Amino acid sequence: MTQRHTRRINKPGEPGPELPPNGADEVIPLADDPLLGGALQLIGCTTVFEPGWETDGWAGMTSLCRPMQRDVYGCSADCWWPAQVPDELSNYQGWSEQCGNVEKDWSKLNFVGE
Amino acid sequence: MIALPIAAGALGQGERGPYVPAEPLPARGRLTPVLRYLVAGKPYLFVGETNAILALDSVSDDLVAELGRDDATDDAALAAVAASHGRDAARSAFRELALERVVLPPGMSAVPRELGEPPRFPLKSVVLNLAQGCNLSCSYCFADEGLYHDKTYGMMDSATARSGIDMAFEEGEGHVHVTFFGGEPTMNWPVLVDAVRYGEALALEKSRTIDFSVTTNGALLTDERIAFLASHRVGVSVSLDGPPDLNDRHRAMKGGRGSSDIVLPRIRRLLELHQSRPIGVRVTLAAGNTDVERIFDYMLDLGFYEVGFAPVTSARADLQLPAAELLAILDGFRRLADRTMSAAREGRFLGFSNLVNTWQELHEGKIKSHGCGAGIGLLSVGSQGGLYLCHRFTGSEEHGFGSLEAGIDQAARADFLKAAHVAHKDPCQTCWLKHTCAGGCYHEAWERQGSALAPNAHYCDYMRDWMELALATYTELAEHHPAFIERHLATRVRKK
Repeated sequence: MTQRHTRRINKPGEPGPELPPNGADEVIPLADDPLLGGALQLIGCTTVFEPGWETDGWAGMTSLCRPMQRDVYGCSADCWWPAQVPDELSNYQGWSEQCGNVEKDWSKLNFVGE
Repeated sequence: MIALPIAAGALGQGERGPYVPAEPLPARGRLTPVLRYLVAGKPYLFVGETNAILALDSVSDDLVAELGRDDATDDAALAAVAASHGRDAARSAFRELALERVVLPPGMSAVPRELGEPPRFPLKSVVLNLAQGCNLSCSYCFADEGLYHDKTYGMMDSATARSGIDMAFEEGEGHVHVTFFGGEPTMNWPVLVDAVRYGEALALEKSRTIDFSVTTNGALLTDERIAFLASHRVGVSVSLDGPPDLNDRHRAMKGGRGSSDIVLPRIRRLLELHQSRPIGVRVTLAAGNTDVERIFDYMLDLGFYEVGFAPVTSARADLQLPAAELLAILDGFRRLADRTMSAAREGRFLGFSNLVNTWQELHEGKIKSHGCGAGIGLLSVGSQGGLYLCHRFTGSEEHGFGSLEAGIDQAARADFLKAAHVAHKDPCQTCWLKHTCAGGCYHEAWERQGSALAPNAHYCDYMRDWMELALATYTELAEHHPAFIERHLATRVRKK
C-alpha cells in the first residue's frame, strides 16, 4: 500500500539482536518456554473478533499470539477464539475443570463431543 | 495475548541511594506512546513503539489530535476527521497510522508488552580492566579510585588479558573490539602492549579483525607510549573535565592537588602525535560543574575531535547534580546544539558527541529493549579474570557472569537480560522513549535506585527534554540537509 498521509524520514528500525525473532516457526518445548514460567499471567486480548493468529493487532506479523501453548486458557475463557479451543464462555464451561495446571494436568482436559 | 510480569526478580538490591519512583506518562486516548512536534511549522511524530519519525500531512495530523483526546474512540476520531477531510482520506490515514503502530490495537487501552527471549547474544566487545587502582583520586569515581566493588587492588597479568581476548574471539563473530579500562590502564603498560600484539596476531591467524581503545587520564603517557598507541591505531578516550579551575575541583592527585598540571602537557603531546584515529574526551559533570559551553570550547581548542558529556553517577548527594543544575546543563546543551546545527547547515561537523551519537541512533531507527549493550554484546573482565555485566560493575559478585576460567555463566546472563527487558519496567510502558532509553543505565539505577533493574526515574524529565531537542534538530537535517546525514551519519558505520 502506498502511504500518502505519513512519510517516514529515518530508516526503518531494525530490532536489536535482543528482540525475539518472529516466533511463528519457532518450536519451543513447553517446559522450556520462559513465557509459561511462574512469573507470567495471562490476560485477555481478543474478546471481540480481532486479529491474533494470522496478523497481529497492527496487521503486522511481529506481535502474533505466541507461543501457542500459552493461549490454551487465554483463548478459551476471556478471549474466545473458536478455531483453537472449546468456547468456555458459554458452551463448554467445564472443559478445563480438572486441569489446574496446564503443564502437569493437560491430559485431564475434557473432550468436546459434538 | 498479553503476558504481564507479576514479579520480576529484584537482582542487585542493596543499600544505595534513595529510591525515586518514576511517574508514568498519562495514557492519551487511542494513541500508543508518541511525541508530536513541529519543525519549521510542519508536524512530525516520533513513534515510541517503532522509533519511526513520521512527517504528517494535515489529515494524519488532525487524526492524531482526535485520537489523542482522553475520551477518544476510533470511530469518533474517524468521523471528526472525515467531516473536514472526507471519509476516504480519513480512513486511509487511519490505516497508515495503524500500520505504523500509532494507534492502539482494537479493543485495547494499552500496548501489549512484548517480552522477548534474547535469542542469541554473541559478544562484540570486551572490557579488560588492566588495573584496579589509579594514580588519581577523583572524588566522584564510580570505581572507588579504581578499586571497584571488591575493593581489591590488582593488576591484570598477561595470561588473563590474553585469555580475555581468546574469549572475545570465541564468543563473538567477526570483528572483535577490546577496551582497556581501569582504574588507570596505562599503569599496567607492559600488559597493554602484550595484549595488543597478541590480539593482532590472533586476528591475523583467524582471518578476523580486531581493534582496541583505551580510556585514560593521560598522566602516564610518554612520547614513546603515544607512538605505540598511534602505530597500532588504538583509539584513545581521555577523561578530563575542562579548564584547570573546573577540572581540578574533582580530578585530584593522591595528595589532593589538582591534576591539570600533570596531565595537560601529556594530553597536548597525545593530540599532537596520535593522528591515526580521532581522539575524544569524556567530561564528567558533577555538582557545581555545569558550564558545558565553556568546557566544549576549551576542549576543541586543545585539539579534541569530539567532546562527550556524562552526568556523574554517584550515591553521594553532595556530588549529584540537583534538578536546577541538570536544567542548566540542558540549557548549555541547547546552545551547543544551536552551534552544531549552524555548522551542519554549512556542511561542517562540530564534535558535540552527545548530540551526534543521538542523531546516529535516531537515524538508524534502532529499537532497544534494553538500556544498553551490557551483558548482550559487552562483558567486562576484572583484573583477576572474573566476568561482569559491564566495566562499572567490575568486582560486584551480584552482577557477575562467571569467569575466564569457568566460562561465561550463560544462564545467569540470560536471566539478567530477561529481567532487565523494558517490558518489566512499568513506568516505561507509556513513555515514547521506551525503546530509546529503555530505562537507562543499569549502574546509574543501581547507585540511585538501589537496583540495576529499576528504571532511572530521576532522569525521565531530562531525558525527554533532551530527546525533543535531538528530534527537532535531526528532523531539520533529514528534511533540509540530507547531504550532512549522508556524509556524517550514514557513513559512521559501526563494525559488527
